[in-house]
Amino acid sequence: MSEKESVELLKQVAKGDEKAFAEFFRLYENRLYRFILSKLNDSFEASDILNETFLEVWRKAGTFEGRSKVSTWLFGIAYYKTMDRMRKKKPMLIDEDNFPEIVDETPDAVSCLISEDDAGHVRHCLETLKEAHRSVMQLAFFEDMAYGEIAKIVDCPENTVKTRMFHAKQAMKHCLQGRMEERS
Amino acid sequence: MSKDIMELLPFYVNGTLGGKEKDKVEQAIIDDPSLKDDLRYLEGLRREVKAYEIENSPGELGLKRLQKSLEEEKLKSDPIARARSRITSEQNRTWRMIAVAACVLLMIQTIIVAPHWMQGGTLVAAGGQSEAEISVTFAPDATESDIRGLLLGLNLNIVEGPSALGVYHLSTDDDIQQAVQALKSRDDLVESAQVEK
Repeated sequence: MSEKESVELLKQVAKGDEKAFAEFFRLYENRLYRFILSKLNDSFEASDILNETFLEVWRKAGTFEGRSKVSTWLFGIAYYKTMDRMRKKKPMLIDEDNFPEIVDETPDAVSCLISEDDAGHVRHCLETLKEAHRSVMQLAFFEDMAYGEIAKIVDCPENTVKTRMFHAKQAMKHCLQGRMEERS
Repeated sequence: MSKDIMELLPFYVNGTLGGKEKDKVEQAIIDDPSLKDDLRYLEGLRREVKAYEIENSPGELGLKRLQKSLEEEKLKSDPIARARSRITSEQNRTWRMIAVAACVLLMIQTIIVAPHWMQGGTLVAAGGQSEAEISVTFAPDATESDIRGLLLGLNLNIVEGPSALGVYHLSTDDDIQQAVQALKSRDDLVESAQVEK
């Protein structure tokens, strides 16, 4: 479905069209659930937040002004809801962007590491990423979003998104390198 | 290689860079062939992130849940619907109480009546206590009001009949033999009367 059709659907939702709302849900539910689950790692909570996110869409569909893509607006709501839940569960005391620079000393061999046989290692390493890094990686590589869109979703400056992505990439390299050494 | 280029590389890989930034990265790749390794690494990473299977999303169940939440939300925001719902819920509560009371009454009735139903291990039909009945035939010229007056006077009830032969079966709570005698004494109305087991 094109962006224009998504916008049209959202307009119908704003008018209280429940059929359009169901269609909108079916269109984005899977992608959104995946995003929420990547942050929470708890399917029950992820389902809760998915429900809350779409309720918010129902309430606020009329406020969508088209300044961003529908998906950016939607993922932004889900991100906010997820962070809110995480804060309530466990207050975040650490500034996730405040970590030391990682110098990229990983050998180039790692670039060849990512083959289909290593999918398990990649998955393990993805799960060990910090939440802020995982979100950005998920949005950049699963949703194929531009850093500007991601910045709107996670409500931070564009440069922070680029830095987070850089650190996520480095962390993945180190993790994969460690797994490779364990194997050999 | 500059940090700026390294930070742009993931977004070059996902195809979202445009204009000057895209040109800048492409030029950097030409200038520094080692960037190609990074590019391959990021492409592999993107491929794996995309292939990362997750458990099924809630799907249609999630939609049902959402629709239920929506109904609740509408009730909260619409005072008329809320009042209607409250009335319905009160009515439901009243009917529930009536149903419970009816069940209790039925249970009490069962406890009280059931022992009387069971007599000698056999179930007695609702026809009553009297095992013995009186079979009686009336004179052909006896009128309905004559018969009614006679039966009422002797405290007799018709439990069956008349049959094709004009036989009535009667029951009484009083002494059955005395009732038969009383019937026979009215030979102007009664042709025959006898006790039947």
